[in-house]
Amino acid sequence: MSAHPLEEIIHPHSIAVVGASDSGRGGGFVAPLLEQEYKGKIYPVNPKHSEIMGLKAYASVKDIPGVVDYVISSVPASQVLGMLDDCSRKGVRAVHLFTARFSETGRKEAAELEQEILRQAKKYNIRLIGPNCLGLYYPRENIAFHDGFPREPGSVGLASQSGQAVGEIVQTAAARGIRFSKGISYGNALDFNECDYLEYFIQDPETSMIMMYIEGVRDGRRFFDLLRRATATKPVIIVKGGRGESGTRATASHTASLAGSMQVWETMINQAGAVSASNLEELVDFSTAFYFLPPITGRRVGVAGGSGGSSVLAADECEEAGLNVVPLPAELREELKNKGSLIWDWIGNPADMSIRIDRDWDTGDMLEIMSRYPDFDLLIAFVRGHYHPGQDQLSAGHYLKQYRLNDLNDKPLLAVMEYMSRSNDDDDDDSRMFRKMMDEVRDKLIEARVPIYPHIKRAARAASKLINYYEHGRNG
Amino acid sequence: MSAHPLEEILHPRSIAVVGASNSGGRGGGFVAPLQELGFKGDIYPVNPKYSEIMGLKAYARVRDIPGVVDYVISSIPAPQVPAMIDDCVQKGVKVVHLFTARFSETGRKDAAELEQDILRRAKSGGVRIIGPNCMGLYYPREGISFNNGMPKESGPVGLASQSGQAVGEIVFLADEKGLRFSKAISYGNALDFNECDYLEYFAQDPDTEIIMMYIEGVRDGSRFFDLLRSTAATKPVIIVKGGRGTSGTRATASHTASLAGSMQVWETMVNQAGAVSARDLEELVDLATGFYYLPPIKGPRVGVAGGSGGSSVLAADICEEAGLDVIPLPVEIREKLKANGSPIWDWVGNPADFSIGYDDFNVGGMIQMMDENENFDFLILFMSGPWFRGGDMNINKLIEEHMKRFNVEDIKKPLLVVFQERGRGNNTDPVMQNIVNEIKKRLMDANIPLFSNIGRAASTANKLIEYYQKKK
Repeated sequence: MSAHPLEEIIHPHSIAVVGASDSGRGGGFVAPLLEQEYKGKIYPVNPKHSEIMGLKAYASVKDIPGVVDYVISSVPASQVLGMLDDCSRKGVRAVHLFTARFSETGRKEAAELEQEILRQAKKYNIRLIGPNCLGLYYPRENIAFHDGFPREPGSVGLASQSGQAVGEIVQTAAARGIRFSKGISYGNALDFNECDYLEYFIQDPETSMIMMYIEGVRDGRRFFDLLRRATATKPVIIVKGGRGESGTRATASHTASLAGSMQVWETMINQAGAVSASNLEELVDFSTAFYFLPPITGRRVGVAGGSGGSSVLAADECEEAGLNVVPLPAELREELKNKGSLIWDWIGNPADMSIRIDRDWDTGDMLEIMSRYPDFDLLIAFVRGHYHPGQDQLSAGHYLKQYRLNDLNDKPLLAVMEYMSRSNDDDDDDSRMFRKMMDEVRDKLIEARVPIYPHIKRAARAASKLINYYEHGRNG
Repeated sequence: MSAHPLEEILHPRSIAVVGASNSGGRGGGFVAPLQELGFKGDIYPVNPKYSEIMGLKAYARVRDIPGVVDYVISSIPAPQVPAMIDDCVQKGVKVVHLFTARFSETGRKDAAELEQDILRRAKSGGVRIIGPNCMGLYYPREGISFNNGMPKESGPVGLASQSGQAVGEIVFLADEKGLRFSKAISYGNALDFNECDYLEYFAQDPDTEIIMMYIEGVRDGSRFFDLLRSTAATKPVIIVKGGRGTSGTRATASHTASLAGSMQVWETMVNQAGAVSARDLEELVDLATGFYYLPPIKGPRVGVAGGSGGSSVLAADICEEAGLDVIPLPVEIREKLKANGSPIWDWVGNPADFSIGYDDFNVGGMIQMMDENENFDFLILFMSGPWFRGGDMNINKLIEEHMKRFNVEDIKKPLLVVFQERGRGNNTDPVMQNIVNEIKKRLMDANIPLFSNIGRAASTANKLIEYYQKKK
């Protein structure tokens, strides 16, 4: 079996950046390659410069002395055809067109130019990523299009029609501990389209789950066949852009996509067993659960660590998300009673930790007990990061001891860290140190493969989606 | 007309904290915030085991206090409360805030009976009760607070909540949005004063313009909905209901011994009364922020600007799904763009995707044009901090240029800003944080409410529109 066409082009020995400069986006494509320490050769191309970001610059692709596998184009649209001629002579196999202002402008001549570029590329046997996109993030090959992307690879494959979305997804997902095998922004999908990327990720051994942001599908039948195949082995989580009237107008001017009927879309996605998310925040939330948790096939949740009103609202949120917040089992109460708990008859699920009398008896102790009962399929813990002035500084390790993460008998656990959503605490040194400690707490939770959410609602919805997925798999 | 019963007791000349101690726990905790907020009356710690607490002379019992005692905070165990109430009656105390808990919310018969006994003693002695099982009063103008770190500044929001934890969280979230409180009251089991009294109080309180409530159960339904209707006609009332489902209802019973009631009936009543429902504390604060900063929004036609690429597409979808009308870009704006020589006059739309203009797109100009166009009822703008690359950049100049670029401080239409934090995760760079905080402050000073994502901005706007349409 021959390799997937994408497999061949995403391991380039060298990358030329055409239209590079010391400022703006052109230079921007060189800088992240340098930052990631890309191991192949980087050739900036621009007739106006002799050196760009410390590298020798060339006037045109054909002037480059060595082999050029992969070209990133940020020249204006009108110069792309000429550049393709050069690429052909040089034996380039793939061109990523950051260059935009084609069919998405709605202008006839721009759309015609786009088609001409496709014809030319086909003739030259050059494959195209884009146009109108940010291209490839492939940490294992040290390729990125953005500064500050994580250098460690992971197991999530991402294909997105929006480059901005890749940036936002990679960065928000990074804060939750998710890392990527490859992230590809593919814009107008002129040559490779959503089907090719999905097909690639299905067979890619580096990818165990798939995220997509799609505005329009170029080949619906093939896509849904592939989607069904994909979900049999890898979860696929999709955000659809262009769901309503104004969104559809926006997809046309963003990537010249025809958004299509949302009803048909939803039906197809569900039948294929893929997971729908309605925005990028949900996409990352759901993915965090899939990334860290084993299959969960029951909805009975035990919640601990909230206090007062937040405990009440936690119950409501979990129930509204489709989880089953079961009452505490009688045997569990008996166990609490036998251990001398003074609130054995009072405490419930969610376990409100503000009512306890014994300060030594903590959230982790409740989680540990819950984890031993088959009445619970999963657990959600509030890891509270409230800062009170004058509070003694704790270490992250000490702080986390109260949650007894090692004693939970492999019961799936999700954590709610509300502080994550609050970057604006008082800016005195104490609160900054506390925040730093909570950052460490977060990192340690991620190390322990605990998915983290800034709000119980988001944790509950993610868990529910995960359960739906595995139920679908079991029944279908 | 005589003053509202709560008005009298919220202005105590002195406060006694019974069960106070030096040991950091809640007893000491009630003394410290009073000192921190600068309560001007006398503070009397009461505990027979101490002669001095937090630098103040301590008394063995309430009746040993030499001066007048108007207000008592109780953090002693439940069994000691009846005797303490008798003491208070003797001393002429007006109100007791019972932080003390473990009454009917435990589900235990003897505890519920004790609670009733306390109510009887207080009633017959003319003492009113806040709570039990609650954190009590935050009244910044009087220097009264139950938590360290609560803002000293007052504002127009009144809050009544059955959960003290919720008050803490709400005040904290609201502070980030520049929203401040007239009074906030945590009232727990609502043994004496209940939701009706607090709502009635805020309705007539001249310091309160917007009312927030967190309610687990209503003790007097018909009075409550009558009050809600009359109040919502003059002040927005935003309510989160705790105990909506089966498990939540169980949780309200063990939290504040509340009967949560039917959610369907609740929703109908709240809607009919013209109040606004929020489903969580974040939405509660979002809505209050909208009411606080914005003039009435007259219709759903929204102009969205400043997103880029996919975020612009999703912004359209999310606004539409929230009930807003993302109209196509009006012809007059296209004409104006064309006349100004914009190369994307035919391409740019609503939402206006700023990434297609590259460096030459005039963000401020676009918002200005939308502001002047009568087809839009209101505007939503995406903003983030400027790129700060460190080094010797002049921070004030950077902020000034950033504000000038967006040029939003003089926009006349209601404007909501979705403020996106760059570099999520380990973003503890203090310089960048200061820059962002300064820009946020500038926006709030210009009466522009900030939201953390488009979904929250859109849903807030839609609920505001519904509120004003109903009111009309």
